[in-house]
Amino acid sequence: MEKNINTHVAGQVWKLEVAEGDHVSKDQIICIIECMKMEIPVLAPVAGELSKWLVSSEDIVSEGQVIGILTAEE
Amino acid sequence: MFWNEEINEIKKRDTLSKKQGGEESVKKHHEKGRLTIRERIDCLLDSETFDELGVGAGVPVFDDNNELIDFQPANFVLGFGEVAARKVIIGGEDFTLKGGSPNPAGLRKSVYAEQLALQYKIPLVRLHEGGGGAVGGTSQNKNHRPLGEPVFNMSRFYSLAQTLGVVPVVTAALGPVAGLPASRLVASHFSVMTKNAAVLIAGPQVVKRALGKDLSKEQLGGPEVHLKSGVINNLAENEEDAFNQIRTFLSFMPDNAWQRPKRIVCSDPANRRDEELASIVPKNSRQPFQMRKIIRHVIDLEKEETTFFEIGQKFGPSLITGLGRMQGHSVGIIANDCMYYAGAMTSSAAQKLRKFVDFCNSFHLPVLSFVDEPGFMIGPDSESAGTIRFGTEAISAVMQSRVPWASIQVNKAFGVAAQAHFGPQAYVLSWPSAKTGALPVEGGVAVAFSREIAASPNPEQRQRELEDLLATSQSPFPKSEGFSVHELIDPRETRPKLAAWLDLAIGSQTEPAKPFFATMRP
Repeated sequence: MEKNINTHVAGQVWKLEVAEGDHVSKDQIICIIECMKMEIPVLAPVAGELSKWLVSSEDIVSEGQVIGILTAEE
Repeated sequence: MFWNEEINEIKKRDTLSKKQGGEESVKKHHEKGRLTIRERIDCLLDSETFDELGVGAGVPVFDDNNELIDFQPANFVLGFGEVAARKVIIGGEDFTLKGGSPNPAGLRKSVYAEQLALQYKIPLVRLHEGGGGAVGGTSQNKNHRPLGEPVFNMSRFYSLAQTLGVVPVVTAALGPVAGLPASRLVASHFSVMTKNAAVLIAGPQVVKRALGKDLSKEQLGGPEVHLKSGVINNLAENEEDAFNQIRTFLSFMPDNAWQRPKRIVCSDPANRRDEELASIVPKNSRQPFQMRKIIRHVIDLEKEETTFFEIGQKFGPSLITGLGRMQGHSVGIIANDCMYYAGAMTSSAAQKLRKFVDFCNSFHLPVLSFVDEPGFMIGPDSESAGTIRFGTEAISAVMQSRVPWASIQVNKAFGVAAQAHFGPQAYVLSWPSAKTGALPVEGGVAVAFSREIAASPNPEQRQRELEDLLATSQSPFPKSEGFSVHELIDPRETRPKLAAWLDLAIGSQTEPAKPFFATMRP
């Protein structure tokens, strides 16, 4: 099942910590958004495989934006 | 017995009244996974403590021989009961009758709930599920011409407004709640909704007619919408969880504004020093940390569980508000969550803070404030949300606060917004990780020294040098030298220090507790 990854804050994508195709566990830090001079982690909502990033480093994102797609483990 | 016939009729009416909307309607309600209002009341209250008022309010139906054959009860069930052996007033709409949309007796009983609370000065619990008025009026008689309330009657909203300053009011949305019940739902100090509840001003059909938008009840007013809008404080997994949250909330509260919360026995030692406190705030100020961990380490544990009860996590999430215990005393807790906009004060965080501080003052809850405030949220969205006004309103509320107040400078305290974290005559502790000033150096240096930075052969390096230089002025040591904080402490000392202070602060209260009133604010 595909699951959207949302950012809970607006800011600038600083680092994507995993690559497309990587396996991630629940609550693993998968991306870091720079917001108000702080590095805010985005956590994997579920365990699974990161199927697609919809943003890249230095992109500006808004609150609640879908930044990637995760294929959840069965 | 002289009155056998009448006594039997009372019993008969009582039995008919408790059938609620009838077997079919109750069955349908259960199929939706919901309890009836009578089951809800029984679940929430201590066993067999419900003492009902107005079982006989409703409309009797007689046959041609004037024999009572049916009874349509008021669709609001009301009475006294006990929660953890303390008296409360409890009531709620009966959804199995007309979908909870008030019938005349139901409306009278629902309005009376607040009047009872004002009269007996005990907490009010309302369990809501129902609609508002219907276009055809509330009478069961189709030929009835609506005459309205007598002009000399006090508006039903008068008591609704009064109760908030007098007794704790707790509400739950346990299904669709619209119109008048929705308005009563939000007139509370704590509100909770179940996953299948929705809170609406008007339902999907009305919205479609007026605005041409096709939206479901959930899309209009489900938990996704209203936990973030601030209409509802907390989500409940199910009805049982909602009742548990209500019990927990009430356990921190006094019965009314003329009492202070009761202290309970505390088994957690006052001098507990949790090691982790010394390493939660990272040295690198760009890295966020878990403020809730700090709260849990400092306040009381009860059977190894935290006593922290968070209220309204999703609304204005850069600010954390909740209740907890310190040495058995009920306390209000305020903290910043740097995971959201570095903990900056947004317009919703400011509204949340204002309401919470007024609530603490209404029921005499001392405040523990864990400070990590980088300032007001900046940018176009924040400006158009009116953050500066709501923020100044929150600061005014804090300045009018009369409860004992302790502030722990955990990390940042910058700009005007920082003032919202220090009540009058606050006891101020500072951690070594504290940074204070008008503006965080990262933003402030770029503005204040823009010419000097631009003129430098290596502007980036010059900016960093200036930032490092000014960062030392934001250190907590000069503040401690200047006695602008009471004490600069080892973070592990926070609990013992606060416990000792709270005993002194509560012991020094000589005025009797009374209702809290505030003036006009920005």
